[in-house]
Amino acid sequence: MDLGEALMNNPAMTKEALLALSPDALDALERKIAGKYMHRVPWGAVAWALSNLMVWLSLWPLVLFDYLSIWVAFPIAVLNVALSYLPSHEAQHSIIAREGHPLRWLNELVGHLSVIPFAQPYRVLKNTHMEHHAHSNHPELDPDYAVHAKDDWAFLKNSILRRQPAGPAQKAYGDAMARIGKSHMLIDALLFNLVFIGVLFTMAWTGHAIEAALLWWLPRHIAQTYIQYYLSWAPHHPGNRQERYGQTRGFKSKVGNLLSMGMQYHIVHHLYPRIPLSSTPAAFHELKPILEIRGCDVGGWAETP
Amino acid sequence: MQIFNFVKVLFSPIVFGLGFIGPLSAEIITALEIALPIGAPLYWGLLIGGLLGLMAQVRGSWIWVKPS
Repeated sequence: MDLGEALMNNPAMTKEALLALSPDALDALERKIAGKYMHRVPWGAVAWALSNLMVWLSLWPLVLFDYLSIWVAFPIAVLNVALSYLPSHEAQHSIIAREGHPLRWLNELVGHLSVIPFAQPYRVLKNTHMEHHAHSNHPELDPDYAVHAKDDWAFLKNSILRRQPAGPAQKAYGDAMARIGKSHMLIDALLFNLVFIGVLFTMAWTGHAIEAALLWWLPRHIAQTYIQYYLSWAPHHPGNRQERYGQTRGFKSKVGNLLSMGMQYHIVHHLYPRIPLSSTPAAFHELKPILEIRGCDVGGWAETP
Repeated sequence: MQIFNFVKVLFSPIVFGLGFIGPLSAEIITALEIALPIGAPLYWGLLIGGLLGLMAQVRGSWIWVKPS
C-alpha cells in the first residue's frame, strides 16, 4: 500500500503527509473527499424554492386585500427575491437530479419556479452560468466578468451603472447565448420581461403602483445587487486568475455564512459543482489542506484548523 | 423587424417612465399629501416619469451618470 492509499483509508491529513503524495494520489484523495459530499438530493433546497415562492406569491393578495401592511411585506419581499436564485442554481448544476434520474422533473421544476420572483429565466441563467464556470474571470468569455471591481464601493457603483439602459448588463448574457448557439432561448428572457413590466404597468394604472414597487420592482433591484455581491464579486475578487485552483477564493464574511449565502466556500463549488450548497462548508474544511497545497486563496480560513 | 422595433419601444426607458414611474410618482405625491400648485397628482407624476424616462432614453442612464 502506498502513502496515497494509506491516506485514503485513514485520511489524517497533515500537510507534510500530503506533500509527500504523488500528484496522482493527491488528485485521487481530493476526488474521494469531494465524492463523499455528492449524489445527495438536497431536499432542503427543494423545500426552500417552493416555500420561498409561495410566501412571495401570497404577499400580493395579503397586501392588496389589506391583511398585511405593505411596509411589513416589503422586507419579506426583498428576502424572497434575494433567496430565489440559489435553489435554481442547484438545479442549474443538476444537483437535485441529473438527466435520466427519476427526479429530473423536480430538478427542472425547481430551476424554473424558484427564479420567478427574480424575473429571470432558468434556461438563460443556466447556460450563461455554465459559460461562467467554463471561462471564469476571462474578460471576454465570462458573462459575469463585468462584476469585477477594485473594492466594495466600486462594486456598488459598478452594479448600479451596469443596469442602466446604456449599461452592459444584459449584453454580456446575450453575447454568451449567441456564442454558444442558443440565442433562441433569449425568447424566455423576453417573455419574463414582458410579464414583469406587464404586471408593473397594470398594477400602476389600477392604483397599486406603490405595492408593485415594494413587492417586486425595488426588491428585485436590491436582490440583484446583493446576489451579484455575494455570488459573483466576493468569491471571485480580484478576478485575475483563471486556472482551476485560482478562479475563486475563500473568505470569512462579517455577516456569517447564512447572510453571505454560503459563498465563503465558493472554491468548493467551482471545483466540484455537483456538491450541494448545504454541504460546501463541510467539504471545504475537509479539503482545505489540499486546497492550500494547490495554491488556492482560502482567505481568513487559513488560520483555522 | 417590425416586432423587434415594437419590443425595443416597449422596453424603452420613456415607456417605463410613463407606464410605471409616472403613476408611482402620482401615488407617492398623494400619499405624502404634497400640495400641488396646479393640476392632479397624475399629471405631475406623468411629468416626472416622462422627464426621467426622456433623460434615461437620451443619456442611457436613470441617474444622470453614464455607464462607462
